Amino acid sequence: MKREKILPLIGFTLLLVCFSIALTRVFSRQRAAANPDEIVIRIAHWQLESGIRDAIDALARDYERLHPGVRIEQNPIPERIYPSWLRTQLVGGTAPDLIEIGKGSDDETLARFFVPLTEYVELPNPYNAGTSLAPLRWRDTFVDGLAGGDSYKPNLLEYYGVPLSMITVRMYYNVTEWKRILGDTPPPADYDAFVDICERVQKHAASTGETLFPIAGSNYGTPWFASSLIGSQTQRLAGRLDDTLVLKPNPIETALQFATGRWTLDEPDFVNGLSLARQIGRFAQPGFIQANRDDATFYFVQGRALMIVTGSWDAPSFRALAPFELSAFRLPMPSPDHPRFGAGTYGLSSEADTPTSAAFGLTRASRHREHVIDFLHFLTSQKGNSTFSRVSGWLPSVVDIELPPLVKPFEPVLDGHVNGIGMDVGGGADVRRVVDSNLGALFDANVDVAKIQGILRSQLPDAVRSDLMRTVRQFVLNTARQDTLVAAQIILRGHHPDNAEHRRKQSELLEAQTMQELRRAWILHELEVPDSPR
Amino acid sequence: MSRPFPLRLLPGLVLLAATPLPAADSPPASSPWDQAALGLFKDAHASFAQQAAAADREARFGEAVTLINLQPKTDTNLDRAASLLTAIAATDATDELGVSSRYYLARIAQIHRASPDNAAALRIYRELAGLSSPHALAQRAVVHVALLELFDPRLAPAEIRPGFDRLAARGATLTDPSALRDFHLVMGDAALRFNLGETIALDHLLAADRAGIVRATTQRDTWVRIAELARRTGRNDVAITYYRHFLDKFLRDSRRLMITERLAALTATQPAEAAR
Repeated sequence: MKREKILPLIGFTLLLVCFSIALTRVFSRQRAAANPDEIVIRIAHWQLESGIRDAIDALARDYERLHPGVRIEQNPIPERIYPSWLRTQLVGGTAPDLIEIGKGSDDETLARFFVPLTEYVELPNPYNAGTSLAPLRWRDTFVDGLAGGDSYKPNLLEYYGVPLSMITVRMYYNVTEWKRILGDTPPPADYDAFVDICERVQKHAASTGETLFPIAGSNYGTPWFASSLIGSQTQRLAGRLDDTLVLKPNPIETALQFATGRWTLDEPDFVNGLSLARQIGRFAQPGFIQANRDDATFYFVQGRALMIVTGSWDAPSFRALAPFELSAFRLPMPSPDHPRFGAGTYGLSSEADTPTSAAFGLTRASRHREHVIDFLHFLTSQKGNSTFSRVSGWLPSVVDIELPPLVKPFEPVLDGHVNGIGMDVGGGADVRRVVDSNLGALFDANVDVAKIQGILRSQLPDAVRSDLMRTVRQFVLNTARQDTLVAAQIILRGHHPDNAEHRRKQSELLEAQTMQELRRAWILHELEVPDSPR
Repeated sequence: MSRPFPLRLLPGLVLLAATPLPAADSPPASSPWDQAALGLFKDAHASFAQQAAAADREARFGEAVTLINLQPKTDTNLDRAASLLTAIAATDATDELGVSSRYYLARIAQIHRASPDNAAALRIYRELAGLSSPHALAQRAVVHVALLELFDPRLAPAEIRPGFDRLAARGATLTDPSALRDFHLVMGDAALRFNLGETIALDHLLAADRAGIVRATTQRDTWVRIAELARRTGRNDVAITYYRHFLDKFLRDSRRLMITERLAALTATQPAEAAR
């Protein structure tokens, strides 16, 4: 047979095979769904990292053993296509029962396609029976009381998600190489010890000719470290700028104070922060600021860098990829008694505000609502979440769980001080753009701090003001939307005077509106803008 | 010789694959007000608009308050909403729906129009505030008057204090817990920001707390502010109480260490209080 005829035939055959497989899967799913004796709970998420699927799988099998007749199907979806996949599934009526929320799930999507979980989270989790958590409301069994992350939606005044984990940022290190090069040297307790370790690694590499850098740098993880270092230097400055007496810097207030000249880039503490942050650049591979997350990961797992800064979510993947023992420590900071960088700092910052993450919502399309809630209870019981943490290597979201040794280094440190002002003044998109576009200069050893200040001085004020006006517009959008919600609650309260929920929701909405309008009014006052365009 | 691929089967396969799935894009809530409460403004608006009786003031009110959030936001929709609200208020300007309609006319002018008209909004808010009505939105109008008057960047510094005092007197008549709370939150914030006196700021924030703060985020910041203001003004008993409230309720907050240290310093100077 001629080659020209074989190739199309192979193509058509492959197409037919794929199509047949797809059809078989669709029909087998329909058959399974149609089986009255079996309940199938489908769960979808974008956590493709090693360990997470194993953990959910392990819990699913445990649950199936406890509940014969129930089958759990897991459906991991790549992060890049997750929002569009989610939308298609929800609109098409083919959504799984449980879906990780946070990407592509705005308020309207949640209201339309997901079940509010408020009535459930106010009751105890039955799977906690016999434990110290037994008498607690389900929401009180989570480290953040479900107040953070994607669990509670303040505009909708309902809980929509139940989280499995939380995340922290750490300096990971290659234990095998660490011991080989540094012997019994413990992880650094402060910034000077960290610098000493980095310099020893550099000396070792120079003397042996090995290609080994102290840190695998990238435009992904290194700026976090830099911002933390600046934050450490500006703790006392933040205290001096605490005009509203809340003992914690608020990004909007900080930006506004910058825009109105209450503080400048010449503040000695901020200058110290810049000086400190740029020092870490000399410990990373050359040209690291052009490297992305994957490049840095590659460097690290290949053993060409001793350390890397990233979130706790990467730990299972690193363990799967790296042919060496792995551990982690907190990002080191200068102590208050540091002769050069101690003046502006109170000490290590607290991680008590770490919110929960990886929250799952129940879809309205689910035909087994009570079973799904039961499975969620099981996943987030003290025992279930402990299993999740042990198998996945991720932090648990539930309180009073003893952390597995591999997870222990990522445990949020609750003691410590409030962090100061970071490099991204106010944290808005325009400031972020200015900072990102000048990372090269920040970490360039040939550029002095005064020049970096000059660059920021010329670009930051406009960016800060632009971000503040964007914040004002966002406040207007929020409060405008809440107007209709308030009207609905007022009417519903009139229809159902005995229903305390409508009173609570009306009160909460009005309070939320007031706080946003108050801050908006202050921004406009300080920027001397009499009226704010929508 | 190979047989050609049976292309005539393809249309059948394509049709099979394209069999439509049941749509799930239907509103989950039953009544239009429930839909509106869930933020499903389009569905709620369609339901209200179908309730044909023009004399049904509540349905027309529903139509108006959902129109103001229909996307895309247009002047035509806002004009129609304003017209509906004006008609409702014309029937009776002081009953439940009349007051609500006037309130939303002010909101349209202040928040919803592309070019806000704060003067028009302020005029309506003042009228509503002047009613001395127990209606929640009439009392809430006082909060908006405070926000618009005190934070107007054109206000000369010398005018802030008299304006603040006038508003404080008006606020004394509020009875609705939400309006009372929000009014004192605004006044406390203004007193602090415009340097009108830490004692005055403290008293307003304490009044707000007594009225009932419901959001944890507002509560934790307000309690810290109360404690800090109390410490600075020498009302150590109040400071100790609120530092303790904070530590008891907010078990995970990065301010705990600082607050614990401040509480320890205060209780060290007040042994009797420390023994409590």
